[in-house]
Amino acid sequence: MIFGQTRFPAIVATIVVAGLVCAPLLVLCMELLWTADSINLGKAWPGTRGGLLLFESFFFSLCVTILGLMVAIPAASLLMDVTGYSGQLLRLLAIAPVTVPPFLHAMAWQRLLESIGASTQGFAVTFAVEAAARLPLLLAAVLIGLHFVDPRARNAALIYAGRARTFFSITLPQARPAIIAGACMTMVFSLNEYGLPALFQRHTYALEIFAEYSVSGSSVDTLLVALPLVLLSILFAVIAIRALSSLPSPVAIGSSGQTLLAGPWLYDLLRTLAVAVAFSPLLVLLWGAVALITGSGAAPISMTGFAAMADSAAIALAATIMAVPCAWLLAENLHRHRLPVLWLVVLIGIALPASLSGAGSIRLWSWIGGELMYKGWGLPLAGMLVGLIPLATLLLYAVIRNSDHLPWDAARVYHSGPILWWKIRLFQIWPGVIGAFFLLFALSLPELELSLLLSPPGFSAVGIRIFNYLHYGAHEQVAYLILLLLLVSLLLGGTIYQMIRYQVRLDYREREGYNKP
Amino acid sequence: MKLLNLIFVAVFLMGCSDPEAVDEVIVYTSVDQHYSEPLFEQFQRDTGIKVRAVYDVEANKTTGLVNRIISERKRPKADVFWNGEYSQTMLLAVQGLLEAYYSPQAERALWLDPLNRWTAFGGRIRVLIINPEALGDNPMPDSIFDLGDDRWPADKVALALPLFGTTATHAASLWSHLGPSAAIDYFLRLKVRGIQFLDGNSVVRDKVVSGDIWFGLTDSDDACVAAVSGKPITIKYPDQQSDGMGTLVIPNSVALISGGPNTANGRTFIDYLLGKESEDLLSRMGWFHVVAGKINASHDCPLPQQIRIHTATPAEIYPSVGTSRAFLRELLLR
Repeated sequence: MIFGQTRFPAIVATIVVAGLVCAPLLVLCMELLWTADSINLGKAWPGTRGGLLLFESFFFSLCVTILGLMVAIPAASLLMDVTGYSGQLLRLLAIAPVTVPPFLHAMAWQRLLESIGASTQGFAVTFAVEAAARLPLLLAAVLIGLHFVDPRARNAALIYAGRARTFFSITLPQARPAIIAGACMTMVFSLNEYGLPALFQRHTYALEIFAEYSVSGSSVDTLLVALPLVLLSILFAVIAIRALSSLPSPVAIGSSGQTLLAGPWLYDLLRTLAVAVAFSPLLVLLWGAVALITGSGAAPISMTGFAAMADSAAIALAATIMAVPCAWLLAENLHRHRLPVLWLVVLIGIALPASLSGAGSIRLWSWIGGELMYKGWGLPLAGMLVGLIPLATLLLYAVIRNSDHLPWDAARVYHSGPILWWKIRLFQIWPGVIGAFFLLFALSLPELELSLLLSPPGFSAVGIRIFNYLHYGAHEQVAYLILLLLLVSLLLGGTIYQMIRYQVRLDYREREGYNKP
Repeated sequence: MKLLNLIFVAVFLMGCSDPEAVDEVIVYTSVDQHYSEPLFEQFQRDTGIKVRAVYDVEANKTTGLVNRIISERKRPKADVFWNGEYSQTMLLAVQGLLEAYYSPQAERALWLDPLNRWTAFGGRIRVLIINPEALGDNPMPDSIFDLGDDRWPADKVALALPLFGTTATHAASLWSHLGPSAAIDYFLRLKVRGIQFLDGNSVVRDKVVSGDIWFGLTDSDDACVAAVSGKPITIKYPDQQSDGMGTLVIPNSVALISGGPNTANGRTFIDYLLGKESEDLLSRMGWFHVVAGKINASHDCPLPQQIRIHTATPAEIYPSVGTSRAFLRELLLR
């Protein structure tokens, strides 16, 4: 058990964290039971129109994910082949747009399409733009997956087979768990997205949830309408968990990349084209931002914009710092005890739409009477943790499960308690911890829905500020904020990437040392 | 481990700490921060009461704050709800979340709730925003019924999805004015014709400005943003013929939240918001386009001064909000 032999505090802490994650849903379910007489339970059944909308949303998200993977896999394979600092910089630049909300990606693409006279309507355009917006996340998942590939297997295969064959028969199968997990999370995010498709006049089931909210003003009714989407999200989260369970050990991160040997011309051409497409989200965002700024001659970003960015960064940082240890606790318990109830907690946290978890959080803390929670960041922090802890738990569970247990078991012969935890476990899962830190910070920085529901009065969130600017036409201010988001993403991503490389290189060298006679 | 616990608790307590306890009022507002923030600052200067605001955005389908207020009903956190339209305020009134308050300034209001739970004041106008260059030699539209007219290509005509915000209220007003049967025919016509239902009034404006759309129906504040910044657009009030139904005015609404933490300050804020100074400030900034039934001319937006206003009141329109949205959801969310 984590925390050495001290089981009781760990059990209590686990229960508290699990309660924090699933309490908002439990509160809504309790309200549903209390008001069951006046609630139309039939709303949980989507009916013909709702069912078709749900199917279309599912099909749309599936197309987005498949198209994204078709670009991300060849692009990542080529990006991994570029060695040195230039390779690191290229990989970072390609995944930097992950912090920019999909709606802003869509606006930049729409502007570009309009400027060249292309259509901005229809299924093909919408799913291509959504795929572009999701591409940085998918690319990050594939890059992580390729980091887990054992170079010894790849090098051995290269003796007998060409580069393309080796990639498809040796490299890709080893990277598959991370790729599947990334694809499933992309499906979950895409299923819950309504703004980007709506901008291109495609409606998704997620918009149905807002329509219900708008008409009824009832969170319970909305929960019922959202139930099919929640169940679909749970399904994909389960697939992601199963995939992560078979992730190999990250022995290859410390090794240098491959040299750029020539492969079959078609293979290299496809990879080059994929890299060009993979950079399109960044290039389109930069083009849109620079065109707006230079075209308008607008003043630099306003102080209120900076204040919003600083406030959001502070709360995202606080949420991340709190979420990662909580996730670590859950991940350790999942690894050691495999309690189904803990898996349920994780799945609920991933699948529950932010608007519902926000409504549940408000009710929960109103009932508990946590007045202090309302004064500062307490409520938004608690709300953010509901979604962030399960995501980080998935990542850390995969790392813990696949770490080398021999050092841990050996050290336990002599030690127990915090030293074991600090000296051994943290060293083993360090890449997962800082990876989770980056992922959570990137997702929570531009967050909108929870900010609207839970931000304390007087708080200025960057997500709210961006959409306010959009509404009254201050697009150049939005452009500055996009550039700022990209910069934050690059700086944070760069720092974390270097830490991962440094730490796992040490780990790799140690493993190599074990193997020496 | 103790160190980690200490850091954990410190971060949490830092987040929970009360920034400062002052004489304050908490205002939830769906009015754009761009317009409402200067008014809050002026109120604070004039009264010494600090305003702590929570804002909503169009991208969240203007459902965020109303649901927050409903969720907080057991322990209300807001003192005042200042809404850019009125149907969501009336939803709160129906749910029993508003406290009756008749402001001394209420005589300046456009409409009052019979039970004094909300006051409607100021106002924006539903307008046609037209790009004359893109329109070319085609006839100039002058009615909301022109959206369904084949004289203009369907893919060059747009309005926001009438399920949310002011467009939903406009749809409900058609239900009320034309009757359900005619209103259903109207929206069926728009749907069958294939006009563009866009993701918000500001998107309609941006599409017309870019020339991708020739004309569309939007709010006057959205259209004025484009006009004031020199974009090549024309603004027209629809249905101004002598037998036309006139255009809809969407007033702001303000209400006192029942059981809020600073009710007295909430009343002071409502009085201030309904007062002449606030009206002047919001008019100058371009948020109010109708004041006391007349077109406000104190800002740079080139709005025509003559207007024929749709006569339906919020009380007449609100009962149609539920039915119109239910039908339009079935029709359009596909």
